[in-house]
Amino acid sequence: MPRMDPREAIAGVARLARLDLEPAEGERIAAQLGDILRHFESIRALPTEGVAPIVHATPGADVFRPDEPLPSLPREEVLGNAPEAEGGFFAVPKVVEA
Amino acid sequence: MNDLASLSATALRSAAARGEVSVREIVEAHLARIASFDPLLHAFLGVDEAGARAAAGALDAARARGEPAGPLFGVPVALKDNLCVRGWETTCGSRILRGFRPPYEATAVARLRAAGAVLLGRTNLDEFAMGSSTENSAFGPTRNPWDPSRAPGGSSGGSAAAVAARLAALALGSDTGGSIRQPAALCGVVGVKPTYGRVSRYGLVAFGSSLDQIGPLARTVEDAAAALSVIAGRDSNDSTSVADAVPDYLSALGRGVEGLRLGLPREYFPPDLDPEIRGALERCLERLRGLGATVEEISLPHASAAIPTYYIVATSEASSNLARYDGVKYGLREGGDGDLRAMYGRTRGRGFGAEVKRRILLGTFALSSGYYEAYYGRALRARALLRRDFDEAFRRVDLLLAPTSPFPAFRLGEKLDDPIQMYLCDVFTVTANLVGLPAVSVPAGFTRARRDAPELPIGVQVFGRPLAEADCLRAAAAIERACPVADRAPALAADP
Amino acid sequence: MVEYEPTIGLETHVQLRTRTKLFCGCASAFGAPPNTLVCPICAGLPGTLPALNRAAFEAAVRASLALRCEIAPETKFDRKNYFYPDLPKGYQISQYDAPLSRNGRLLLADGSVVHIRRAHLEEDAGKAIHDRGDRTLVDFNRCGIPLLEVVTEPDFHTAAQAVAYLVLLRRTMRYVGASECDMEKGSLRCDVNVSLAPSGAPPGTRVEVKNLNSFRMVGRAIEHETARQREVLARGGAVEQETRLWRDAQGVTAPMRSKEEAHDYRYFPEPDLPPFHAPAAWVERLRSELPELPAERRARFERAVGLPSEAAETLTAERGLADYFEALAGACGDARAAANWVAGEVCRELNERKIEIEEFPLGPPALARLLALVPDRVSVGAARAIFRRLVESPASDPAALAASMGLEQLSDVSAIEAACREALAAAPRAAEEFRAGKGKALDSLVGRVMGATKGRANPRLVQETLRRLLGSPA
Repeated sequence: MPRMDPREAIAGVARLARLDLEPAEGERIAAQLGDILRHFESIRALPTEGVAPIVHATPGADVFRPDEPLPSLPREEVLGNAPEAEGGFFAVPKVVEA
Repeated sequence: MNDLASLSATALRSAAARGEVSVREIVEAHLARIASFDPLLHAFLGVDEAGARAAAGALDAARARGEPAGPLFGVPVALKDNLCVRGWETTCGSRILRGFRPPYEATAVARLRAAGAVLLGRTNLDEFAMGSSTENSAFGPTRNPWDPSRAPGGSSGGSAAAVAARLAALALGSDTGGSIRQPAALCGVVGVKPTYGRVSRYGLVAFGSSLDQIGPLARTVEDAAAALSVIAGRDSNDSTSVADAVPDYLSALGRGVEGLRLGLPREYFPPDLDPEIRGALERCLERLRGLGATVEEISLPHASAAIPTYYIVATSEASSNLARYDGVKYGLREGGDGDLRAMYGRTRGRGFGAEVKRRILLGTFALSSGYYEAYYGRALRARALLRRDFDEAFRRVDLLLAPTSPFPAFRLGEKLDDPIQMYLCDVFTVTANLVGLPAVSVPAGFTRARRDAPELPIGVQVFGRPLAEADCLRAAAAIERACPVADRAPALAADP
Repeated sequence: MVEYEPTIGLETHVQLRTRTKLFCGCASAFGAPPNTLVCPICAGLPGTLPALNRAAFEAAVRASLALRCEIAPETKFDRKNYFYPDLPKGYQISQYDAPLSRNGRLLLADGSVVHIRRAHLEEDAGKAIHDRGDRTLVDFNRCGIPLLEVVTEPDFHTAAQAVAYLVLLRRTMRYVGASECDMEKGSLRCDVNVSLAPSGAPPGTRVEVKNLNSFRMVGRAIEHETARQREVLARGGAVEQETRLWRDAQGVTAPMRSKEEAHDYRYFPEPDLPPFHAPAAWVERLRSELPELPAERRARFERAVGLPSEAAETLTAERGLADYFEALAGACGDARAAANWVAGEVCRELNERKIEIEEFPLGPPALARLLALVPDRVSVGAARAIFRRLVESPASDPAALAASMGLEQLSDVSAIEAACREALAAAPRAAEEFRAGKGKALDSLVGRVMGATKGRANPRLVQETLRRLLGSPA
């Protein structure tokens, strides 16, 4: 299992997750995640070689929907919860990424 | 009128269907108790008095017209606030969803309505169902009706407390790693985690999609069975819902446990298990043996992998499920005057609470490039090992019995600053979710009163094979009869 | 100086032809007002779940079979996680390590083979509009539209090859009814990967170019990107691995503005969808139901029908057009004439009317009746005029139209002879020249006769008669 310094990794992971953390908060969470991951090290000892992974707890397959149109929502409802809407669109700050 | 609230859901339904009492009276009795006791308990995040009264009026009118009464006719139900109800706010106990009103309804909720249930309000929960104490709600904790200085468990703590305190006859919760069963145990009520896919998840705000199930919390096994009969079944809106016919859960309840082979997983009775919980389990088993069940010890060799496996799978899925809360479409927006990136970071940084952030970060890490195989990939394989354990066990026995929680209700704040201690609350419950099995928690007794604690409920958990809810409920009903506690109600002092 | 050879691969998003979106019942339509084809599911509202459209799955399998891909017996969906305002769930449901199909190929007209690495199903994102002041506006109508992403091996070395592949891909998708591939409606979108390396050396650093909305843009972008990288390498520089956008107005590729941390999409299996199977018997049935595909049909038209390659190319552009041609050729018994008429007059009408062959009012049997009158009863020129009238009133009888339009050929030998004598008398110089061996002079005499008969004289009879009168063997 790869080793990592949670304090180092936390900033990158927080960026990936789009979570702004206060500096103290980042410190605290880094420490906690370090503890948690240490606690989870036990999973390393499991004999998982050659074991097929399980994604779904129940073995369903091939559940299709017919290609039949259903009504869409009225636009007022689509936009009804939007913090900002403009001319029938959702509006967000301009995409400017550093 | 208040004594109406002490009747079971099934009794209320019979009385209302026969016209011995109006739905309006039932609803008023529960609204009155909510008004009296919820200021103390804070089980509810919102009560829809007008909606409940209107629904009651409509049901009374329908009965007057001679229309047939549904299986939950007139039963007042509380809903965990991660179930979408048309016209209500759905917050998931989070600042980030505050004000969100879904323009659609959860399938389970629609089925309750169609069965004649009256929706009272939305109950408190750990934010996005992440927690075991309901203290992670952005809107303040819920208190345990048996001892208001203690937590009701979680994450469906509001639902469990509401049912225990007779503020609602029935409630729905969701169970991702024990979130129905653990609060049911800590509040002394019955909680059912159905087989994965038995109840449609459509309209349940996702936490861990491969683990989440909706289920009932009730004061009797019969009530839980009645509710499950209504909400179970295939739904074309949930591709993971199973198509198997829903059996009559009520008819099995009286059949007793004679001839049933019960297994006790040795790993679920560790040496440091709370002695009162061990004692309650042993008394319960003794009685079941007396009723003709056979009991044998079995082993689930990979049990110790359950907590890490669960927390890796659940947080990985959650990190993806919670990506949609970004300030664009609904709920909170912060930093909307800056650039998009700043808005994302601020909205999510301020909108989510500490536990949710921890889990998003853990899950993001577990899925990230270079770590996927070591964490998420390995957890999926561990899941397969855990399933093997249960497949093996179910070759020898019909049902497994175990404590629901390693300890009774704990004090508010006691575990709040120690995530690992909080995670260990779920040590006996998470595996049912990882393997997809049905499990029912049923009250099996009380702790003795101590200087610093009153008597507190103890729950026992019955696991069955996939889709064997009827067997679990049958055994739970036998436990309920053998260890009667349902007539005990928490002594609540009305808010002055 | 080192010769650098470009290596090019294409990733094409083909919008599958369905009535509804991939995972919900909203109409899969183009051009609706913003946010009017949106439901709780495609808006990614909390608590909603996807349900797979059977028609999309089937269209994807048909498309894959048309690309000669191997269909995976079991396939699954994965989540591709990234943040963008046009992605309402914060992830795209796509396929990562178990795509629907792999290892296909498409045979281009020049005989080269394009290898298809994989094709997978995924949902489209919405549309973000950036040019409105300080806000970005978002429309979710496109969210959840079913796409098949077709990825080629880096098999191309010129822009022309890449464009030829796209043309054939589009035709093939349309033949099997899997997609409209209408670039104007965004139902065929393309990203290209370009890398340069000295001939024979392993491929160099790969640059992805996005934002290509027409075949022309694909061609220009490849040309430009190849030239740009060649220049960088010639200067001794290194090509940076990056994603660039095609700026059509300027005719250049430019680096994307956002140079955020390396993408980490954190793919993982979509827990909300079960695995899906393509049973062998079902796949075989779909395979057996495939029509003859454009590449094969074009080859057959050249080889078996004997059409010139240009005509074969034109006639196989659309399945309906090729069907029309074959029906017409069968009905009139003259494949060459049928090919000329369909590639010429019929296509001209289709273009003028902006309609598809399926909407063309004149069926092959009616056109065949007209062609049967040529050349003995009407001239080719007259037939064209009749054709235009026939398209207006397809129920009319071509022979009757010829008569009523006064276009029936004059085949009365004595009348033609009279007209020929008049022409010879009027143009003695031409007659002299012909007798002196200048064959061309006959043309002007024929022209005079045709003019005098208002084009109705049977040109074959006119020629024969003139030659006879001029004392020359026919």
